[in-house]
Amino acid sequence: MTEKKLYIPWAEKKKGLGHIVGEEKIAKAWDRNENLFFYYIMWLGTF
Amino acid sequence: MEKSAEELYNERLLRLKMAFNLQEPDRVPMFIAADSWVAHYSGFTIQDIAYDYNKLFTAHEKVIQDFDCDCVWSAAGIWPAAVFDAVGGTQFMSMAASASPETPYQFPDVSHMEAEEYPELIADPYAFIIEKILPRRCSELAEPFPRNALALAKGALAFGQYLDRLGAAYQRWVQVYGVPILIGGLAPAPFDILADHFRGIRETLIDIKRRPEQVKAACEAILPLAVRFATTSYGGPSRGFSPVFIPSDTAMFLRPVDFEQFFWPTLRGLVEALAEMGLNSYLFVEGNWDPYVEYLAELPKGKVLVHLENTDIERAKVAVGKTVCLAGNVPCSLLGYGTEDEVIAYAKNLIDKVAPGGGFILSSDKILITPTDAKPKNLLALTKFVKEYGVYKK
Repeated sequence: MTEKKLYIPWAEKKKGLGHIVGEEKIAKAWDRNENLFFYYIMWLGTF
Repeated sequence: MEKSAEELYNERLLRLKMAFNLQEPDRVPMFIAADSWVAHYSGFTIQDIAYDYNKLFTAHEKVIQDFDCDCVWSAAGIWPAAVFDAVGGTQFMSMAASASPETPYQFPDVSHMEAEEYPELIADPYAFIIEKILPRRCSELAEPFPRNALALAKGALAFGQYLDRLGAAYQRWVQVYGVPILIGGLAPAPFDILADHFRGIRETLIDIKRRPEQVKAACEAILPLAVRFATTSYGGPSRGFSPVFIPSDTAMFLRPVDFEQFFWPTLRGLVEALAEMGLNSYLFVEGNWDPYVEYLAELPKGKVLVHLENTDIERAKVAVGKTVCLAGNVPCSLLGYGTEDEVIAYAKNLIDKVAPGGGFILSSDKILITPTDAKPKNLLALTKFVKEYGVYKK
């Protein structure tokens, strides 16, 4: 599988950003939004 | 003294959980799989409840109040029309484009994918959905940038608003009426995603003859997306019970040998993956699954609810009743056109034959969509009868 970068988990996003203050909160919010967007795309694709 | 909402909630949840876990609860649990039927029952049109969330939740709330069931099936069966309008949805012909505000969603069998595109789908199914399927299903997403991006954003806003309202309604129903919400998440079977939404049913049935390996590979590629669809759509207050809804509608078109090769492996894979994550599954198996019932015995024990439509439920009880909880299957034809006595006679036989030993939840055989799917007086007679006759004698 050759995946394009259409889903970007926080672990991927944070690369190269250096030190991040409050990363846990940012990571949670980022991934929640990625998940919600994935749900939206799948919903559009199958409804 | 009347029970509090919390007491009712705990009582109903325990009843459902015990049935789900293949045990005998205090009595047979039951639910009404009420979809757009709630609109007509509450004096609205389907268009009303698809566009106005207040009316959608008011309609469901009236059904909750009038029919004493053990859970709400789901209020998410009425899809938010504003999202479809924003993205120019064409797959489901909504009431806005149909002849009457009373018309339910219609589903034309359309192919959004060429046979030559299987390798692309298999290589990266998520990218394929975004780049190929969505612009073909949604006219606004086929427009040049920035109109397509704005349409996707407008749809996302409408979708987020809908989810917020849905979550709030569920919370209210739990707190005020003490009713658990049955469906906790969503993920169609991988073969159904391919056949219903990408390639088309007719074309897929041809593909399994002409390019069988690509169909199998496509289902396997879609499987991880289906698992993630289930987990990202999962919500609700009763995690640990509320199962992921897995509608399965194209299996009935397959020969058993094709079912075994093309449909079953990734459906089983989906259920097993969810079970490993601690999530239950709710297979809504449309049509007649008599030729495939035995396969259900391969599923994780006590983790799956199987809602049967035209399948012989008595035979299913014998074949897989020690592995999966069965739900069903009072015919909508009887609920809609029969008498109260006929409904009760059917329910009595169902309870006599399928309830012993537990692992059974009584419901209609189909989702209630149109007014003729059930007379309210028949549903009232049914709920009253199940509460009286469905008691397990210890």
